[in-house]
Amino acid sequence: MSLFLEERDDGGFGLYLDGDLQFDTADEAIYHECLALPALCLARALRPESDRSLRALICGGGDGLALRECLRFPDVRHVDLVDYDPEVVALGRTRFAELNGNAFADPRAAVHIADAWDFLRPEAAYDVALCDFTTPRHPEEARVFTREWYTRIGDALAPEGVLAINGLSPQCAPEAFWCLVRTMQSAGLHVLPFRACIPSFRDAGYGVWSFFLAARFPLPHALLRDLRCPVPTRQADLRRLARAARFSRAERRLRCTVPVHTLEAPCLLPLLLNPGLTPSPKSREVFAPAAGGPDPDYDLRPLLGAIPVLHPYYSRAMLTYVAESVVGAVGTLDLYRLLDAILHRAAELPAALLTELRRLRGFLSEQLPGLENLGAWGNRLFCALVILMTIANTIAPDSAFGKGSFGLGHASVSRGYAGSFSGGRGFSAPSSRAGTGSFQGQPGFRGARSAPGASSSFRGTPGYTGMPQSFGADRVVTSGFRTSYGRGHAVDIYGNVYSQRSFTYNASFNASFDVHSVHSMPVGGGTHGTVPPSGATPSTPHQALFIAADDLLVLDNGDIVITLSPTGYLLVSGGRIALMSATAPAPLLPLYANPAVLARIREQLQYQQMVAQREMEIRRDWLNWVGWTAALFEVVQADRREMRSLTDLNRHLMTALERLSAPAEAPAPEMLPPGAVELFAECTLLPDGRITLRRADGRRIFTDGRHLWTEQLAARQKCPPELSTLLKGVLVKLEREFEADLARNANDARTAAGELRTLEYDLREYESIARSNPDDPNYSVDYGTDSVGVSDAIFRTQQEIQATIAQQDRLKAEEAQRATELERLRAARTAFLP
Amino acid sequence: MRANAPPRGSSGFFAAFAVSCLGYALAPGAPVLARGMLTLLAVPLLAGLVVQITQRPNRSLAYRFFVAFLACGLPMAGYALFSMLALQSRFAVSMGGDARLAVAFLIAPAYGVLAGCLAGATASLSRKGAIR
Repeated sequence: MSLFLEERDDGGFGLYLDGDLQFDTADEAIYHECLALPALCLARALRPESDRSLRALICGGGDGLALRECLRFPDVRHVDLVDYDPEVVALGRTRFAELNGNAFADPRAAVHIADAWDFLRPEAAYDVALCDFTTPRHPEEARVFTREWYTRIGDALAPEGVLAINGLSPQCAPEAFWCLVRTMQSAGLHVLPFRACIPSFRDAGYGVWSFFLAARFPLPHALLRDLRCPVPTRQADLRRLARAARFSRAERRLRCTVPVHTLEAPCLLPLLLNPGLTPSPKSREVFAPAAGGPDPDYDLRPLLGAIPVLHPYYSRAMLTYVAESVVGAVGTLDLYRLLDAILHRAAELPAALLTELRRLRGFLSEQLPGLENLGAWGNRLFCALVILMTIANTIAPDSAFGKGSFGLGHASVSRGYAGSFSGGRGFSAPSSRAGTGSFQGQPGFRGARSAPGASSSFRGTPGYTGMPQSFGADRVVTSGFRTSYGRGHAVDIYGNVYSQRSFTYNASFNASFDVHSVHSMPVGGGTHGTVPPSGATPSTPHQALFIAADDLLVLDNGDIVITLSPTGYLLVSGGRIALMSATAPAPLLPLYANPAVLARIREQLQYQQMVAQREMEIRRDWLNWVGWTAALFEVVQADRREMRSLTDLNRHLMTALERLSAPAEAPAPEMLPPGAVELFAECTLLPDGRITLRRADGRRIFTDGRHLWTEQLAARQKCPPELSTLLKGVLVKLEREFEADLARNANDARTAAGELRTLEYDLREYESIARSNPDDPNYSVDYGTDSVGVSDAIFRTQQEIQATIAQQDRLKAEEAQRATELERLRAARTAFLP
Repeated sequence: MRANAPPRGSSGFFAAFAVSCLGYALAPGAPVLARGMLTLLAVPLLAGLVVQITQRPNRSLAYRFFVAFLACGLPMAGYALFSMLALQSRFAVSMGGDARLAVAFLIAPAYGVLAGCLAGATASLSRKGAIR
């Protein structure tokens, strides 16, 4: 028997035996309460009040959950549990101990590892007997559903004893359900079936479930209506039992058509496996056991050994069991008898239909003599198509089958480039979050900052998330360059179209940088950046042409914009960087052009250019083949247009790269105090709540949202509202980002905890196997998809446990750090209230 | 009856087919211009010559043309088809992929016919004894 435990993230689990769901912790109480409590209540009601002590028997139910229900009942003084599978009982004692309330430790319970058939004694005189067997999938398992079994267990009951049986689905296998009813009745039992809806069973495709109450005496429905349960139920509603026991006349009529399941004439399995099969009395002999059976000498092991077991849920033992079941089922088929039955049915066809079929055969052989050849040609054509598709699929792997693609091919997730400024954050393992290419600028900042810079952008937050006109949020359609490039919309290299966005700033900015900026204003007084100086070059709007990354845009004039928040951005042009407000055309503050930042921008643009050039090369080759058919095919015309767009994009990227020149000198990196959080390039939140920005001349200015000052001059200037608003916007976005980080961290921690539980359980299993085989340390066990020696499996599992614990520690440390930084950000944001 | 039938002389076809396959196997590594010359000129001419040399002189011109046409046209069509499929699969934007596939399947036979006709014309150049 194969046993599989499916654990969920919420701590719940489901038990599968031979692939059949036995219970799910989410609703197992419905099942076990319906199985045990009605019978116990009924038996209790039938006993005199002076002596209501009950003796119970549970056949099967090694998980201990039915035992738990019995022991919950105050009148039960002794329970015999008999199960032939020691593995399930061992699980009941260990893994399920918490679930079954440690029922096996109760002194009233006696556990017997034995075959229930042999265990039963007529003199036992149980007051209650519960049959908690698995649904039969094999002739051997159907033995405990035969008339002989019910006779046997009926004999083991006291005269007023009650039998409760786990039934079948009257919805999915009605014939088998009524076959069981009829079988029990033929054993001299009075039967009262009732339905129960168990969500996990329904989700597993088993439909509405059922249970049977049976006894030697009549069981009217009124008994269920008047049932009184002395213990509270958790999930089952016993007041509805009488209603659940009603079956329509049409349903009950089926009982008259099904045979009785006996050892000599087993019929339950065919009825169970063939829902809708309504056997006539004539066909009963079809259910009789076939002569012969599987060849006992046939060795399946070499064949099964050749089948790879790759799925983590399925072990080789399960495969072997299923294969043997199939071989057994096929072996029991009597093909001669089957053929006879089919011919018998064929003879029942109407004569007119047979005449028509004969005429059709004659017509085909006379009029279409080559029809037979058509079949042969069809085979050849099919073979040729298979070969062609195989070769084509080798050349162009189909991402629909999860094979992914190389490079940038297809629409699979492999298109994302892990080293870029976008993507990657939070979608992969926690360890891969950090350092995916941030614009953290100086190496000295690395120790002072963590989450924001460790993210994927120039500053902590991804580009336009949450912005009114967000490139990230307003992706319009994926239609390629052919429809959008150069037509007012921004596009990325994959042809994703984004909403239109333009940036208006002073054209003279590029020429001299000598503008009315904060750096000329702050301490010495003067105007702030919103008012253009007299004689300044008029502002010009520039369209965003190309999205190089989430927050890195290339404008139509070759300038580069790094988006910060809805109210501000960084403008990079001519090797210089300026902090810009979205509401003012003039730079708020020229920032220090960190060579590392410029190098990262250059690297990103070069990568995008490389991708564009690669696309151009492919299209050029393609057009060499098909270009001359442009007049015939629209797609070729579109490819030509796209080629022109790519050429134009390549030219713009070259212009942008030319304009992006490194500064002449690179001063030594600055060291910032521990606990500082980088907001964006050259802008840092200090531990005391101030924000510092590094000016173009390398010196720093400080602000608390209300005032500005420098290191050299203690005199404070009022902070321009544009700068204050911009910084507050960045703080708000970073705060959201940190909250998302914390949530992701908590999720990772939960996942790691679940993995740890699974690993510890696996380790206990391996150790148990090792103890059972002390002389063979290389006893083969399943380890994931491999088969390894048990000692090796223990070693590997221990290593994995250590790695998982280390991961948990790392997650805890990250969580603590992020929480601290989040608090700091919140405090700073409060201070920056306008 | 079958024993008295003249031999089919298929060795010429296989030789030309092998020459064509070899030529098209070398083509992908060549520069664009050289590739075009190789696939649309050199290989068909060579395949046609091979057919012309290996076929018996008493073969009809139409027969020679047909043999060379198949021996060169099929590999060319296959080469064109797989080249275009490979290119199509490398497009980063998969938009219009189905249409491109259709184009590839339509254009590849055209290349095959072009190369095959050239090879056939070369093979059916008049030789002494050939049946017109």
